[in-house]
Amino acid sequence: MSAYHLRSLTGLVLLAVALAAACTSQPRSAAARREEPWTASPADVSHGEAPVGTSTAPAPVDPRAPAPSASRLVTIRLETREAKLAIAPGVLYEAWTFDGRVPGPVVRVTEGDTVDFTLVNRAMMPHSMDFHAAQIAPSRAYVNVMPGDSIHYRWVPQVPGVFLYHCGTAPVAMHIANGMYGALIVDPARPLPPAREFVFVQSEFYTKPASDTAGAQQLDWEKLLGLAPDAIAFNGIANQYAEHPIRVMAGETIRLYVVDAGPNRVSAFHVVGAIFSKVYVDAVPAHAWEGVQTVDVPVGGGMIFETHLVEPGTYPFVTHAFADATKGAVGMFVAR
Amino acid sequence: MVQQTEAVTTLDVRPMLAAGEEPFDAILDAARAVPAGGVLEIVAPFEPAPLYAVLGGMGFAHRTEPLEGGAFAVRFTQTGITAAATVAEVAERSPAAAGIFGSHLMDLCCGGSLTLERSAQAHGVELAGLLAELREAAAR
Ligand SMILES: [Cu+2]
Repeated sequence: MSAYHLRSLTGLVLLAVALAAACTSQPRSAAARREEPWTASPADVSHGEAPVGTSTAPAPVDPRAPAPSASRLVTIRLETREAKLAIAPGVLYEAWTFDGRVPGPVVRVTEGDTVDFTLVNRAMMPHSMDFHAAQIAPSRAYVNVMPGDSIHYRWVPQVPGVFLYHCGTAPVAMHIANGMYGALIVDPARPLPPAREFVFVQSEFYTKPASDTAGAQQLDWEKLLGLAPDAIAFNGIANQYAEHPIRVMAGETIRLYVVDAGPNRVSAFHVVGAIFSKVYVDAVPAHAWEGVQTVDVPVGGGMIFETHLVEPGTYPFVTHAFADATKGAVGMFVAR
Repeated sequence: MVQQTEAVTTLDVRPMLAAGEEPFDAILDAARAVPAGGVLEIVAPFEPAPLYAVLGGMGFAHRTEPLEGGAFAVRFTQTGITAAATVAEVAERSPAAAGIFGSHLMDLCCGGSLTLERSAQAHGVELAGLLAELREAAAR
C-alpha cells in the first residue's frame, strides 16, 4: 500500500505537468476527439406530414403476420447464435440472436395447440428461452443451455394474445439488449375476424464502437444502465417502415400485434390520424377496449390493436414518447 | 469452488453450471468482496464475455487466458476506476492515468473534482473507451 501512495504522488505531479499546456481549452486535435457517434436521421412525424420514404422495395424485415397454425402440433426449433446485423441504415451491430435475426422469428400458434420446442445453442455462451405465453416451471424449462447443447420440451398455450419471448440468462438486460427476443401470437380458439395483420416488436439499442470489428457497434452496458439508448426500432431496424412504408387499403381493418421487448422503454403506441376501434390487452378478446388513442405497451408485454384508416393518405405509427420516435421508433402506413 | 490466496480469489463456476445453477449472483457477490488492487479469477467452460461489461462497470480490468479443453480463466483486477470516480481520485490511484488524461487533452480545470463521466463529456472523449484504457493501465 505504501508503494501505491508513493507512486500516486508521482502520478499527480505528472498529471499537473501533462495538463499545464492543455488547461486553456485550446482546440483539440481530431485524434483526441471521440469518433462522431452515428445518428438515426430524425423524422418529423408530428403532423402526419413526415418526409415519407418513396421506396417501393419491401422493408428489410417483413412486418406481415405469419398465417395461423394449421396443425394442432406445432414444432418450433430455434438456434441461438451471434450475428452482425443492421440496426439502422449503414449501422452494423454485433447481435446475439434467435435464428440469426433480431427480433427472432414470429411464432404463431392457436390456443390449445401442443408446442414441441427445441432450443439449440450455437453461440459462444449460455442462453435460454423464456416464453411469456407459457405457464411452466422456469426452473425446468427456462434454464441455461450451454454452448453446443440443446433443450427440448412440450407446452400448451392456453391464453390467447401476443406475447414476448426472450432469453432469460443473466444478466437478462444484456441478453435482451443484444437482440434475444421475439413475438409469439396465440390465436384464440374462435379466431378473430379477418383483417390485414402486422407484427411490430419495439426495442432499444445501446451502442459503442465494437472492439473487434472496425465499423460495427456493440453493446454499451453503461448506456444501458443509464437508460440512454442510441436507437429505438420496430422490428430491429430504426426507421425501416418510414423508409419503406407499409401499403394498406383505406377503410380496411388493420390488426397490429405489438410487443415491447425493451429492455427498458415503454411503448406509447399510437397511429397518427387513427383511433383504435379495439385494443386487446394481453390480449383476451373478452376484455377489448374500444375507442382509444394511445396505449402503453409495457416492457415485456403485448397488445393487439385494431383500426382503419379513413381515407387515402400517409399515417405514421409511433411510440408517442417522441424522443424514442425520433430515435427510430416510427413507421408509416400508406393507404390507397 | 472458492479458493483464496493472498490477493487472488478464484471462483470456478464449472461445477455450478454442470449442476444447472446460475452462477451470476455468486460471481457478483465474490466481485463485491474484492478489495482495491485485489484479483478475482473466474474459471468458466466458455469465455464469460458478459462479465467484462458488468464487472467493468464495477471498476474491474480483465485479462483472459484460454485453458486446455476449451475452458477460460479470466483475471479481474479491481482498479476502482468507474464512471463515477473523480479525475483526481483516479490520478491518485493509478500513476499511468496522468499520461492517459494528457493524451486526451483532459485537464484538471476544476481541481480534478469532476467525475470521469462529466469530464469525458466536457472534453468530447468517448467514456467507454477512456474507462477501458484507464483500467487496463491501472491493472498492469
Ligand atoms: Cu441469451
